[in-house]
Amino acid sequence: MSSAVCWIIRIAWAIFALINGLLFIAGHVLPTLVALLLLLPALLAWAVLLAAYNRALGQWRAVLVAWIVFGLLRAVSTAISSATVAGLAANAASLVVVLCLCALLAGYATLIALVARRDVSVAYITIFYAVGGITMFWMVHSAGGVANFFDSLLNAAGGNNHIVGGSLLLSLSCMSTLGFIALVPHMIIMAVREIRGN
Amino acid sequence: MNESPEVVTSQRRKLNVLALPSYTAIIFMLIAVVILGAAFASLLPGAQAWWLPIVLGVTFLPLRDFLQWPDQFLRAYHLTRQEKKVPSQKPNEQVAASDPTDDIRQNLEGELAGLGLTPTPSVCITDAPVIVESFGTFRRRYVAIGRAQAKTLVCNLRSDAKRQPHLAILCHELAHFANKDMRLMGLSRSLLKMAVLAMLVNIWIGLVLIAFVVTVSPEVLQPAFWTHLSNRLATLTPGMPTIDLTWVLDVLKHQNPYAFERLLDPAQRDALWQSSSFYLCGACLPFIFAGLVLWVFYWPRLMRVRELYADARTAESFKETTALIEAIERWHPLLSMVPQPSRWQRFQGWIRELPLRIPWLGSQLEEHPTDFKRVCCLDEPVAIFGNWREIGITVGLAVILLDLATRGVLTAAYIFEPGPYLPIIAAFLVLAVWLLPQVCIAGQPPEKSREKPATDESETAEAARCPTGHLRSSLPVQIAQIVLVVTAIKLTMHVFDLGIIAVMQLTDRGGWERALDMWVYGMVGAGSGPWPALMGTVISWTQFVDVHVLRPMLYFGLLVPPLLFAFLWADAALKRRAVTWYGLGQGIRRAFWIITGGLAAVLALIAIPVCNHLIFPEVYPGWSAWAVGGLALGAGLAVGGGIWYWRQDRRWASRCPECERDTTVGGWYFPGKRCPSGGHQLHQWLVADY
Repeated sequence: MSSAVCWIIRIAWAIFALINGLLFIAGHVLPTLVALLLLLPALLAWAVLLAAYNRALGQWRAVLVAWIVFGLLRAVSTAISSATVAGLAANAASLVVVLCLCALLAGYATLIALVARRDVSVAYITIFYAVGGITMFWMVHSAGGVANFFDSLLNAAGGNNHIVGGSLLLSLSCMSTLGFIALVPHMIIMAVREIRGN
Repeated sequence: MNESPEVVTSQRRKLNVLALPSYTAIIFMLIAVVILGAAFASLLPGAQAWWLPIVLGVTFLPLRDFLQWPDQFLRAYHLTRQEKKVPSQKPNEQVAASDPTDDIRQNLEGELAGLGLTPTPSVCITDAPVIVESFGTFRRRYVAIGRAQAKTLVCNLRSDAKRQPHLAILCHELAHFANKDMRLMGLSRSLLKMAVLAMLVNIWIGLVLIAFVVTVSPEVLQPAFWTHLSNRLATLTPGMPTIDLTWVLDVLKHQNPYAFERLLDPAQRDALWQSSSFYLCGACLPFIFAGLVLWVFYWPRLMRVRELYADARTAESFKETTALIEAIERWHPLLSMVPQPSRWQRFQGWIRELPLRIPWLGSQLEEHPTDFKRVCCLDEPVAIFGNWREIGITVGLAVILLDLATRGVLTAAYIFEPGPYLPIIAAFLVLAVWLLPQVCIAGQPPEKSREKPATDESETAEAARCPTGHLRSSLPVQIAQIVLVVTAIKLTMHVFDLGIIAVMQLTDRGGWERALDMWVYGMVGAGSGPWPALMGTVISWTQFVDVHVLRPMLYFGLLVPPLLFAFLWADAALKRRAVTWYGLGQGIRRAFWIITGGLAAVLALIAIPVCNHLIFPEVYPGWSAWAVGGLALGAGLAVGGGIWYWRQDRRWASRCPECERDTTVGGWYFPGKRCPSGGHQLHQWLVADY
């Protein structure tokens, strides 16, 4: 990495940490609008960091870790939000939600980085069909029907009943989309490499 | 002198197998026909299977896997591609000392470039347990060499005494690219791998989706569900107009009313699940079974044969075999330089080698020919094609696989008993091409007249064991032997059928009748039951055994063997005569294809339909316009082909292209035959240069 990129990364980390720290300490004092406006640079800094670490993110293990972290944070945020909390605990709950959002973005970033760096399009599509069907089957079955399943999806509290299934559905839907999008470009790249013989 | 001039001047030489259709290509075609033939059957309108996963699974995915293969190989062996070093831009920075690996690599690439094949492969030096191995695709070419082996190779290439054998090692690797067998090997590997994997995934995904659809349909296909969903969406977007989704139900009903009605009924859930999953497995399992058999038996053979062709190409380049035979001997010291493998690698190797220890079967699974076989094939190139027993088993097994793959649910509506077209035509084409080298050498003088280099006693004993026994028997005998082996293998399948029926009779007959009904309905994709009973009511067991087993046995046991023998013999006889069209030069290669193609057309359009009508009158009750048209076309082709052959024969047969028009060259052709008057070498391109 060049020194300029190193500096950008340091600044992004600083912004991200500062804003999240501020929200944790003074979240309950700040007006909601200000807190929301503060989230914007924090997410921007997070996006810069994700772009900067694309090499590390573009691996299967990173995909796995990011989505497991997202699932855990989602479980924690669900548990905290269902309990009545106030003061600093409320700030912590908000912070977990923000981190959960960041983990979700990181999960998407890992999927994008991986498919951009390596031709995993067919693997994405295969995983989607192989795991997606059984996940849907299990979620619908556990919800007690398709109508109940849709109800639970549309209802925030109900939707959170499926911590693992919800995370899987989010990742798999992204995988299938990326898989179909990347299939042809990767094939073209391979064909060009073949024609050029390198 | 009593000897004729021909006997004096003509001397038997080796056949140039590189000028004829390669056995590698024949095996590749067999693999491709079995897999792709069945896959493209899913495009037929009555196939009732979603063609996309099947066709893409065996076309797009294998091609993609093949193109990715070099990268996978590079990653697996921690190889790096050649990188051009950019000179340092900073003037005060010291130029680093050149890397010895780079020197070795450049040296070896220079040697490879000197062998004259373009584009020259990139050399990859590795610490992984690799000796010398070439890999690549159409245009990307690599040669991986172990570090220690690369150093030894470079050292020995600098020594005048050791240069030739070590150059032969490199030339052998290049020959894989020159022979184009690298792409055939890679494509067949990817085709088999992807056909098996894609179909396994297809079955899994299909079963899950069928289960999902069958489970949710009784709820989703009710109008109440869509009304509920519309209302639920309306609550999410207050103030916005309500979205009515009830039209979806009408669309679904309109698409397939039959399936819609059955999906609505929860009582039919099990029957629907059974019939759909049976149909799906019936469509995909033949690919998996055929793919595995081809992977286990055909692919290793392709690998072995390509090594023999690479040897032939190397010998052709060196114009002699001594260097290559020495290279084969020097291979073992190079092998001993492979770094000590880790425990895990040793375990993997042990697992891999387990099947190779099985008697007879092990030799069929070997991916490399023995040194002895390699030397034998250099001495007698036709031995590359193996003997009549090997080709008989190869073709017989392919015929059974084709039968299995094309008689599944995808083509049940198109292929009737006995379904002989694809298997018989494929068998005829493969055997005709396989027999071509035998035809080219069939006119050679007896073995004793051939000049052999001086050998000691042990070499003579070894040569006696050399697998060239097939050369001693005549062509008709070879053809008869091959046809008998193919027939025996084909009949084995029917005998197996007979055994299964006997077991059915002796066990739960009623249960088997219901199972057979389900199989028949599953084959035609009849959806869910209740089905009217077929076995035991509409069709009796006697009829079933007669139509499904006994008459096919009669067909393939009594009718097809003489038919196949006659056509193969005709093909061989016509080609044997066509080889004497010396004036046509290399143009006789086209004549070979015309002869084989014409005979295959006559076989398909006249012989097989007549046999079908003869043995299965109830399946083929009368001569349709198409069948009569086919007969007329076949007859036309036969007459046209005959006239063409006669004219070509009159024009070119037995005429030396170098001498005057009236010079006649008597007798059959053999490699090394010379014109009796001018002494010119006839068909020089068919004579090996080593």
